[in-house]
Amino acid sequence: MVILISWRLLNSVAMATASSQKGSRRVLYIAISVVVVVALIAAAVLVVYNPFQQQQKEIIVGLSLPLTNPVGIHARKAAEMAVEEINAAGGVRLKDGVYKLRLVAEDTNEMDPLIPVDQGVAAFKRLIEVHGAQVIVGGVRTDIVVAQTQLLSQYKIVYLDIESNQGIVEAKVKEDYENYKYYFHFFGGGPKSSAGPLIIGFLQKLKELSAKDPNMPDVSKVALLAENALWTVGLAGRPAGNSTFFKRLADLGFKLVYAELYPTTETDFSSYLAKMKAQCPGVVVFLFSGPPGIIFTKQWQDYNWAPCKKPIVFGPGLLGGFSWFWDQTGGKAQGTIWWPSTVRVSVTPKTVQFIDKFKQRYGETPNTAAIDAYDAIYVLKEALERAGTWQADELVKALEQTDYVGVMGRIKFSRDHHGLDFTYENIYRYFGQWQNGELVPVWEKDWPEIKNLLIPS
Amino acid sequence: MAEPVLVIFFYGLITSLIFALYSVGFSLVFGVARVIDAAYGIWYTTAAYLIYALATRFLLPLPAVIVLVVASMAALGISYYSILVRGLKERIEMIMTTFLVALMVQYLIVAIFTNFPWSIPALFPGSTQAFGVSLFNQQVAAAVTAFLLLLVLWYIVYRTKIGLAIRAVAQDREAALLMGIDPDRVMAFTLALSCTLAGTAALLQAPNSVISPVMGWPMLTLAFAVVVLGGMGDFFGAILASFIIGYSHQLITNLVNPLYSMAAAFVAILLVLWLRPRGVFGRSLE
Repeated sequence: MVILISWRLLNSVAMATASSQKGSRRVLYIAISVVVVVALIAAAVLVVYNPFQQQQKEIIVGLSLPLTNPVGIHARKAAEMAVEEINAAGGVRLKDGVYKLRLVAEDTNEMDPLIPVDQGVAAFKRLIEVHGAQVIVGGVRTDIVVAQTQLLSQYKIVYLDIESNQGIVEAKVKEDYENYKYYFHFFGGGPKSSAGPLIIGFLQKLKELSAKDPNMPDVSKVALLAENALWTVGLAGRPAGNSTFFKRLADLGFKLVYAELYPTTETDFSSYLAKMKAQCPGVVVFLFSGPPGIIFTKQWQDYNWAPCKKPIVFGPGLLGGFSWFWDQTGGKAQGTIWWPSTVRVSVTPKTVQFIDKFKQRYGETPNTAAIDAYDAIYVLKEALERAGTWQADELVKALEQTDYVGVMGRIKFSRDHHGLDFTYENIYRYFGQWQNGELVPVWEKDWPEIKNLLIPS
Repeated sequence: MAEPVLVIFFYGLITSLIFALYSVGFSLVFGVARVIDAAYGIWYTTAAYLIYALATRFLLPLPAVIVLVVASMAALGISYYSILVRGLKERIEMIMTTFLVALMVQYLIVAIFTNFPWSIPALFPGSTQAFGVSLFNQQVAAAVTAFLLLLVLWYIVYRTKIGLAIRAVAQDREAALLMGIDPDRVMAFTLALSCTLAGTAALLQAPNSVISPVMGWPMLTLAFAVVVLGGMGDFFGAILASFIIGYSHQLITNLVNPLYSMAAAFVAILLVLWLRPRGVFGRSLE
């Protein structure tokens, strides 16, 4: 309306200018005055009535995920489930009224073997600058999460990291609180949620079992194969095998007979398997999070290990515990053991309920990213209500008071600790083995011994 | 237990034959049509997704998959030449246009199939021991097929009339025209042959791997390395270069560090471009 009036007035001015030079200045002054008055009235109306206020009664949650990869696909679906449930139950009550949650998403493409950090950062910026996200949920690849979190204090935005297996940013929260306090971690790798002690515990039990069972390979001989990505630095070490984890294993009587890193673009593991076989390992600790894990698993199963016994494959493989991994390997995953695993265990009353609900709705067992995203949205909802606002500095304080029992287990944050704590019950304390298309729990941190183990043949 | 030398020998042989089959197509296109086809990698990717769709979504039997993939890739090559490549005159224009085509097709693949790492079951599962080396049956079958196809290709290029026409156009387009050869038809045939070779390499390799929209780029890099090392458009040079790169790849993987294995190809390109810009053998398709 303002533009239309201005345009007509300017037209009049132009016509007046053409017809009479003398009266033109007067007409111009009148026109400018009218435009200014109309603009002021329009601004006042907008301030008083604010027609956009209804739309602003929502909190925009930005999903920073690899949207065409199973990790991101499941996380997005689970986040949608949580948001639907929260909105259906009335939304989120803040100081100035009730808000609905709205999801926006950007594709970080972070499961690309080349790990495109630039795309991850660009997606993160778009969520804030283009979509107006007020909180970010997402994060899979450590390399990308680390880069994105460097922008948090610049944007003053809370980031709930659901899947990166690292403790780098959690450590930065402690070292440089003001710049990194916006970061909260819903997955392992942190100082109190490292998979290392769990893996050592599992290997010890496996060694005890192999000492009793002549059908098992000699588990005291360990091979390490890890993808060359930032998240494997801590556990695998650089060069491969040079880490506290393997020093601890050596102290416990294990012998590292083979250690190697592979590029994330690897398409053939023949040479790796040949070198491994030359050492006859009893167990292969395999650290992967990308598609080469499928190739390795298929080749390990098909490989002729004679005269050695086929080694047990086990380890932190982000995709290994996903429901589709079985199909993607054509059942060659039989006998492989993975952490994390979305085993169907009642860790909390919500665990099996969520797994079944997700499976019923989408036809697939949710992966870990789905569980983390679902819990992250609920933790966010509670924190928003505690804070009464989505403003980051207030929200951080509210998140630090989190003590929530979710699908994965108990999530407890504090000012000093923005990550999970595996001393509390958690689904990530379980190891699952693929047995005829099902992930069977074979060990948990507090179990005295391994159960239901299938020895690969 | 197998000695590392045997491991390197067998795996190097398998790798080199697959490299050769793939790279010869790229070399031919350069030698005959004088086109640096930056989209060559995406034809490999396209074929892999076609195989995946036909084999696992439409559940077609293997012979039907092979026939359809080969026919589709040949048709794609002819269309690609007729619609796009024929009109490209300047070298920079060729590189930019074919590169953009590759990106467009890649995005199309993502739109249809997503970035999901799809997997194709092995046609020949299991493995066999040879002198203590465990060889995957799929890889052995791929290497034998690649060897036979290279023989067929050699026969086409050096023992048939169309092969003679290809070599004539590669040598001197105007002179070939004066001899009654239609260079356009020869180039269209060469593009069809090259796309078919990329498709055949995908048929042999994809069941042993997972497929992704970016899988063609490392293959394009490899083809560049082979062509630069072997000489632009040199059939035997390309095969020899494939063996040099294949064995270098295996040597570095087995004796140094797998993380540096692809770097061998880049180092080879740089060294050859610096020391012998016409390739190690300094010939072309004649």
